[in-house]
Amino acid sequence: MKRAPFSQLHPAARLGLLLAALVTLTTFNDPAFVAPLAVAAAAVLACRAGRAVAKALPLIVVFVVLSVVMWPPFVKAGTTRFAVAFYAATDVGLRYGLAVGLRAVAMLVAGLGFLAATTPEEFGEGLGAFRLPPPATVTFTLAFRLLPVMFENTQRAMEAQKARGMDFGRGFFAQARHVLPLVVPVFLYSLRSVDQLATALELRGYAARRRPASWPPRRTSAWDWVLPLAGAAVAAAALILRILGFGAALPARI
Amino acid sequence: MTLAVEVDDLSFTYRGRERPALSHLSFYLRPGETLAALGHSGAGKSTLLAALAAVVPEIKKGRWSGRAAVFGRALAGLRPRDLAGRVACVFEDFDAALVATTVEQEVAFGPRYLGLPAAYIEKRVTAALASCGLADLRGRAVATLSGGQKQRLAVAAALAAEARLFLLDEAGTDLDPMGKKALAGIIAALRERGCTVIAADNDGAGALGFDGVLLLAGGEEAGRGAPAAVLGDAGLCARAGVAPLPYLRFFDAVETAPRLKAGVRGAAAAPHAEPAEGTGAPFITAEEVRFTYPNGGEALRGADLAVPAGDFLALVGQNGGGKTTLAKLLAGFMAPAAGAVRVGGAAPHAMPTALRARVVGYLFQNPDHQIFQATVAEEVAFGPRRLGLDDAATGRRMESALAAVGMSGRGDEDPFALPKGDRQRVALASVLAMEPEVLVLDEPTTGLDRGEVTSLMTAAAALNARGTTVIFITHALDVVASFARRVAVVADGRVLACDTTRRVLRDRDLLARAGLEPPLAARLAAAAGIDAITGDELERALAFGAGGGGL
Repeated sequence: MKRAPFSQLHPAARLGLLLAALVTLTTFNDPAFVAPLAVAAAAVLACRAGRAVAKALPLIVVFVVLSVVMWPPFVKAGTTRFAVAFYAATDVGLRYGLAVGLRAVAMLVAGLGFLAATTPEEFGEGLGAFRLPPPATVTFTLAFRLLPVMFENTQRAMEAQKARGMDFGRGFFAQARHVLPLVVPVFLYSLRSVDQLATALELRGYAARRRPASWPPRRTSAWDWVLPLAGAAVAAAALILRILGFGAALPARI
Repeated sequence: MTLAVEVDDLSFTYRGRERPALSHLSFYLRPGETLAALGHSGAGKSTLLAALAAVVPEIKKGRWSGRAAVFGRALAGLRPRDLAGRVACVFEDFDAALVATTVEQEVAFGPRYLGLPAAYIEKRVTAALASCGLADLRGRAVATLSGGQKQRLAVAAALAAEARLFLLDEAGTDLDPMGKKALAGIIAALRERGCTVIAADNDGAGALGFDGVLLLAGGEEAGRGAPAAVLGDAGLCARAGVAPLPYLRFFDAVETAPRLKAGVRGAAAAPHAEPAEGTGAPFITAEEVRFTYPNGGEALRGADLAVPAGDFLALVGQNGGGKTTLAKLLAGFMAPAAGAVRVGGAAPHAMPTALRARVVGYLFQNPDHQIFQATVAEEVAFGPRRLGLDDAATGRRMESALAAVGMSGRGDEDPFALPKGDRQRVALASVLAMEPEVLVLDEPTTGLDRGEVTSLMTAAAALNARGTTVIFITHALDVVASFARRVAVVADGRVLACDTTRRVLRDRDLLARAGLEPPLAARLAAAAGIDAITGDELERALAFGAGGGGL
């Protein structure tokens, strides 16, 4: 499959662009400013994963509606548009709720887009380029490696207990009641593995102060500098606009 | 010349233990020499490798005395990172030692942290993946690989480090016969390159290609020398809990029966009774079964199988062929995507959990995925209690199950403190306590020594003799030859054939299609024109030929 232009950027450039997007989105809380950003982020993701976005659309709508409903009681500024018993919504509160909902969706979309285009190792390389210490980058990679292992071990433990008549039932609470026969084997297995993992890391050259070589080889291009710098410029412009009083439905809040 | 490995009067006792794991061990290896360290579980093989990788006493603490050195550098006070780039290790629990998320990144991890240039890393990664038959899986996520593929990946990662000393701790346990053959080729190639290899294993089947064999028993040296001399000594092997090679026993028998030297053709007349074909209508059936995992991996592509009640069936085939998926479908853990699975006329995945546990018992390869109680008795009694049995009935089942696996009177022991072979038997007892009609064993002998394998499979055979249908997955065709009544050969998601053990193990073409070959004894017997598939049969055939005066 042909790689998307975003995933051809250096991981540090991708990380820089993500940071710029998050800063820009956090700067505004007026839907008139946030909505175009959210739509743009969703459109970019839809180009690569249209079916997944379409599948998630009802959830996104529900999330935004919930935000619009939940936030107004916490915002007193503005003209009251709706009041029932203890619930009152002002025009500012509704706009703020809409902006926060859209912002969260846009951030989620940006984050998912980044993760879809970036392997954990590339993320680690990006963090390394920002001078984060090797233990931080390795820990991140290991977390991604070990999560499926933990999931797989839990699955096996569950099947093993089912083979002895254990019915875990359906739903979180039903399964939580039977947590011991699952947690003990998974936890003890993980404990047994810790020494081995530490040894494997050391024997393969990992040391806390040693930075790994970059691999596979990357051909850096001007875009690796231009795009993050452009992103930083947009984020800076957003901050200036906000300081000048633009893009805020509720100036006192983020 | 600097020695590759020097071990001089080395002893080590793990913290909190009284018995030493290694006791007064002394040997040395020159660069380019290969050594097979063999012995029973707990003999000290893994501890020896851990000592040479500087894991003990710095990471795993304990009392250390004597001297060990690698390429002239004394190991006392060193950590594994001090040996990076010189020593590479493949661990027994290889899955726990994989650190990256993709195949190529796993192999590149060592070279990257050794600070090698990118072009050189690329070269090493490509060569290591090709050596281990993983070139096609280069971009795959590690989490989506099968057990055998992960073990190959662990070997590839060790190769990429381009160390001079390779420590392989049971590096072939999850490999199919072709994978084991490839591993032997890799070891031979390393020796050609002047690398030193120490491989720990429970049995000596692959040790003939090594320069030397070190037999360990209870942490002490039980024997050392050329493979043919050590493994041909049945008494020595018995003391170390290692199977003597049927290859050598065969020629021993030839030597002790002079008339056989003239020819062994008379032995070919030795009769072998074919087992009964089955007992009536199939109790378990799989018809045109297909299954695809969520990651897109198509594991079964129209598998058919019919197993009569009371059968003792082995599922064999190469890594990733679909054996475990088929077994899990038979056990009802998953529903087929297409086709039908029936056990006693019902779809197992649709059965209520408690009922299914009484119909099909499933023993996982790793007992640690199951054990969670504080005592052996509680662990075994867990299942019957879930069925709602009273204390008396639970106790009876628990005693009976422990007796079946040879662990009577050990109910008060802590299962977590037992050796792996005993933990496997506890897990088997806890499944047996459910008194299932069908018992499915998923690679039950992996990582067990000869005595443990015999003990576990004998327990399974005894259950089968009492009427339980037993289905087991294995790569060990010598175990199949000794215990299975019938064999189903699985490859590429289909059952290629299901027939009596003797017919299947004599059909080299069929086995080759599944990446298998007959066990060593069967190959030797076939070459000599003798009808035998196990070492015991081979010996009996020879005795028959000699005694019968047929020559």
